[in-house]
Amino acid sequence: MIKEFISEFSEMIMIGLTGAFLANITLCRAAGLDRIKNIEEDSDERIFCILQAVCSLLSSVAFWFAERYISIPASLLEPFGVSEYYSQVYLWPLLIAVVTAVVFIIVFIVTVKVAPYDKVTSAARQLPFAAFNNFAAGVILVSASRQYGLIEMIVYTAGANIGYIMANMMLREGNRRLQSREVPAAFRGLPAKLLYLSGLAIAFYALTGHSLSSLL
Amino acid sequence: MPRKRDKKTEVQRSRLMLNTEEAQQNDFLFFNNTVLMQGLALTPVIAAATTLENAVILAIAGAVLIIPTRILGDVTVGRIKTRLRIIFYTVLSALIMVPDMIFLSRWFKGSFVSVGLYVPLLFVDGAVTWRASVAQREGTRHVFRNAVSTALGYAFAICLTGTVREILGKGTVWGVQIFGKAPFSVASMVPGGFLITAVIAAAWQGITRFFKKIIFSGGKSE
Repeated sequence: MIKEFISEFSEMIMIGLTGAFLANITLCRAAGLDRIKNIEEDSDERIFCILQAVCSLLSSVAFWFAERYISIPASLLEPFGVSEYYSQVYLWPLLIAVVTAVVFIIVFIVTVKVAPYDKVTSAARQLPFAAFNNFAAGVILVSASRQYGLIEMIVYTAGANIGYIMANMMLREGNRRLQSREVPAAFRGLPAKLLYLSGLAIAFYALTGHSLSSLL
Repeated sequence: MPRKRDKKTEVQRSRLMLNTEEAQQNDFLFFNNTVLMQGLALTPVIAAATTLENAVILAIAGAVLIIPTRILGDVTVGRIKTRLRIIFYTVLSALIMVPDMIFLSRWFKGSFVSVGLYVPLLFVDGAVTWRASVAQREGTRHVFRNAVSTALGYAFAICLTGTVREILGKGTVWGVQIFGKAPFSVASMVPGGFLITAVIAAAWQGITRFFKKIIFSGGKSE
């Protein structure tokens, strides 16, 4: 009993660590990069990260339930040569869009009622892009493709959000230095940020056992 | 008389400048390239466009989503609240994604599987949904041109990056061997994707800056 618990607990920790560090969804899968170009102009990054974490967690849970009860009849896509497994996979984007829309509306209503007065406008402005972005959808797609159970999915999503916040913080910190006049004109802005992320990604790759000689 | 002619030339010149500026703002292929200048759709470019074939799959999948979503999305301006329009954009692109994936998987078979989750992930990409937050209509005439320009800009950038990464990372182009050994194998991985996209974006930025200088200085170089 205790052995089983310890083994399951350590497995959960491993899943969480995978989401946060070992397969950081931003640095090792390049998801959630839509905001990087304007990251320095937006001072409400903290609100965005909180909203994104809430939305992605709720969407993951909602998707897990929806995926169990909604499916395309295999016979419908059989004429197109689609197998039963893939007919379900092709439904994922639509399911994600619908569950995220429901979560978005709920979070929007709650945010308007609960958020402090001075933060409401910023939160309402950020919410659409915190709920609908390729980070949140990517987390769900990765968990679904790995056929995670409900708890595993929640742990992975939480880990991935920690990983995103970490990558975001490192990018914001590095961004101050990237604005230096010493950066060549052609590299200023997006190229410099991508170069910086490239260095960070190599560092994260090292965590998964890659060495410099295996990369080159 | 010469003064009148000078004034007329000046007006014509400023009109030309305005038209050039407007054309530049609406050009998502070169001056405001969707990927290399605006930083949209970076996920498929960096993570999945490791070969030209993968890039072509992602380019077709993305273009098929971008064009109808942008055109139909423009119709919703004023009809659906701006903050809620993102729902319309994502549900519509997710709907289009189903037949898109079915046909791409039939055409490209094994290569489609190698692109993995990055095709279904396109439905919520910034390149598809960014217009959802804009409360202004583009108008029937402009929306089609802009949608095609955005899709072409994305397709060109991803194919360019895919080709460079395949040459450097595998020493091949569309599977045809060019170099005996991969010159820079990290190009096939995500860190290499960041690095090569950065270099291409810098070159692109430099070239557009050069052209802008030529256009606005009226052909006179400094």
